[in-house]
Amino acid sequence: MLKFCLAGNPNSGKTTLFNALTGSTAHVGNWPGVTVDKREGVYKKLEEKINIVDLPGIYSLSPYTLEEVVSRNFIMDENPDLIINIVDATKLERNLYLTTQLLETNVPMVIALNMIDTVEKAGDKIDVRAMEKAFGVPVIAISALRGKNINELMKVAYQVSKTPRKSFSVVEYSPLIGKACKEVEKLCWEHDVDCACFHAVKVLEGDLLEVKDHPHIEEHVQEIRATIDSSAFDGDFEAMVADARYQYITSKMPSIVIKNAKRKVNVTQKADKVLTHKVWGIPIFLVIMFAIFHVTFAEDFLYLGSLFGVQINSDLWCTFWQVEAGSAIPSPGVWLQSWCGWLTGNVIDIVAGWMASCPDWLTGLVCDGLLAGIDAILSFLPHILMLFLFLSILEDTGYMARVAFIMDRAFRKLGLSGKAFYPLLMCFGCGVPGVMATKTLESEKERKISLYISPFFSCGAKLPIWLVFAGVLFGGQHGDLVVYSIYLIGIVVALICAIILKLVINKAETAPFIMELPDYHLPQFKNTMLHLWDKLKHYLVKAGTIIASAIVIIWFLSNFGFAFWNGMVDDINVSMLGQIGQVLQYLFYPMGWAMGDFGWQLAVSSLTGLLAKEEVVATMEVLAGGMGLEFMIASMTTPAAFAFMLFNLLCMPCMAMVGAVAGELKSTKELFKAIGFWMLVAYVVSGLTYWCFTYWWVGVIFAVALVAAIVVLYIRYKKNKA
Amino acid sequence: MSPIEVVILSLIVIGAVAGVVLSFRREKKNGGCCGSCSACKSKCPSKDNQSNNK
Repeated sequence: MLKFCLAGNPNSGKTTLFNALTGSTAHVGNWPGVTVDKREGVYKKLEEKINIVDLPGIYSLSPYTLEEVVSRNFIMDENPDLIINIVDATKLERNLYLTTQLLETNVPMVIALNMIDTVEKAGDKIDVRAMEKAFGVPVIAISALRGKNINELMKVAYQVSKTPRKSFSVVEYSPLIGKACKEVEKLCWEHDVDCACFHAVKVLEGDLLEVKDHPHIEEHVQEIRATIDSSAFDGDFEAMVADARYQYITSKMPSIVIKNAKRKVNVTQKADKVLTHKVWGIPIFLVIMFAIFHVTFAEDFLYLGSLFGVQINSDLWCTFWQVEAGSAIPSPGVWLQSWCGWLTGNVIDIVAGWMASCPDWLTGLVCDGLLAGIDAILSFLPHILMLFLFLSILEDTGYMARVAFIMDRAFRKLGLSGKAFYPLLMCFGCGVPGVMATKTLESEKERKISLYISPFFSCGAKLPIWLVFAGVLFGGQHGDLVVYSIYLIGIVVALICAIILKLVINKAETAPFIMELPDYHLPQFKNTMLHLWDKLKHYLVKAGTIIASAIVIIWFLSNFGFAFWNGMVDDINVSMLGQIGQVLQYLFYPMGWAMGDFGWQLAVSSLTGLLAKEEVVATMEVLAGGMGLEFMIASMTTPAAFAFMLFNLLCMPCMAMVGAVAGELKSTKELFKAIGFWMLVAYVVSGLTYWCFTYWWVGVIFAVALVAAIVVLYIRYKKNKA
Repeated sequence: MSPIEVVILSLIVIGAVAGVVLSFRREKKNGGCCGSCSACKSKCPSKDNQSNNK
């Protein structure tokens, strides 16, 4: 089977083209670095099947980042039949820099000039023929997003792949180093170096890998370098080669691009003046996030009830909104959740009716165990999907890339860079891909800090916990604020921990963060729906496998004694789980929330969360029995409820994420350190929350101690600096 | 509970324990990935992400 690879700059649309060619649904994001590893698919619309390989986005073939190493190794070592070089037509000059490097390989190549529709919309023109002449390979103008010219691209690519291509380097046209480049290439030929053109340029610029691989050539190359006047570049040959490439590109641009003279400042530039403002950037982000939480979780939509006294009174509207008479209009998220709860509640009633004649234990297992547990998490599905719909829209429009940019300054003080924002952002969805994404961080220190703080970013699986508490705390009136505060506390704790870890981990400094801000565009319906479908599928698969299985075990342990063959127990406290739980309960006593009436049930629920975080609410529902989940929560004081939520937010994540972190830390000792760190942070924050808010004088003592500690640290910092 | 009920209940519980164990084994095999969503597919190095166009 023929093998074509997609190579191009980050965010140039490689994965969009990959999806269009292979019919797959790989994650596409409007920010650079979505693809970390290569991925494969098959194109079948030609006479021969073609294996398409989507490579991570790169700016050059220098082996400095993981993405560059993956792409370079594939192109040089795995002999692809053709390179489809995706070039973003809106940022032509910068994208062509990589093209000039790919031309130095002898792999057949076509240029896919992507986003041509955006260029045309702006009134600019690109002369495709002039571009073909300048770079010596076919150029096809396409729009990967709209599927324009994709089949034509593949037809041309197929024909081109059949004929070998002679490599050529634009560096040879440089008056300063062109001659030297030719001499090094001749040397490479003489030493039988395969793909001499590529290696010659790399050896000349002093690429560390090349120098190591070709020591016999390096001696001669040093003599050649000595003949060049490199004073203008301080002897930096890498900079000289880069300059030669850009000189060539710049010299060709007037004949390739015809700019629209009447072009004004575009929407992206106008919006960026406000959204990436150095003072207002972060407050605007916080306001946008609050608006999302309000629309998703608020019981009083737009505060119409509190501010203007808007109430629902007629029976018809009460049924429609699923609220009691006199209530305010709920937000769309709460409204959808009410209907979902109504639907799942009716399904349970119907099944319970069917099972009336079954033995008690079987009815209990199916209705009070399996269905009640799964209902407890599935009824929150509308909320979860709605939150991720908004986050997906923010990502797709290009706003999230700006957030990484505005966060960079704050993150840098914490030993992280804006690049670390992406993996941490992914943790809001699911921690596992977030942890995997940390491998793109070059600095080991940054990677380690990110891995340690990643569980503090509330993932989608924890959302049912916040929602079930938000529905009871403060009379269920401030659900949006409760959920928003939990997310913010998670971020704040993560940042404080990053500061502490920065002092503890003595590794190299944070790597510089260079990124390109993508243009804003309207979110793509298909892309957004795919994100939601992924979330839904992930949730349903988990509910049907690990959660359902664990619920059966929890139900069994909480309804039977150790002599289970004697039948179900009347009192849950004498069940197997009850007896074990009452011992385990003492472990959680210092945090306060385990001391209440449902202490051991809450302790056991937190422990089952280690299997999967959705399990916390499902277990609580099963262990609440006939009294119901709401009664269990209502029996807790507000500080105890918050302490419980914070413990579950910050403690050791689910086993899947622990496995992913173990894979990245690559050491059992390091993993145990991380687990110890998470449990310690959860214990301290949860305990402090309970005791400080239950006894005001504890709060005062803690506040005074905290201020004193900050003052002492600040004075020491100033002294050391002086 | 009758002996048959005890046997059925035991089988259900054993099945549930096996379900939890198998789910963990699947996740471990995939390097922590659930393997079902595209976010995992794009980050998970161990998955063979072959896909076919229709």
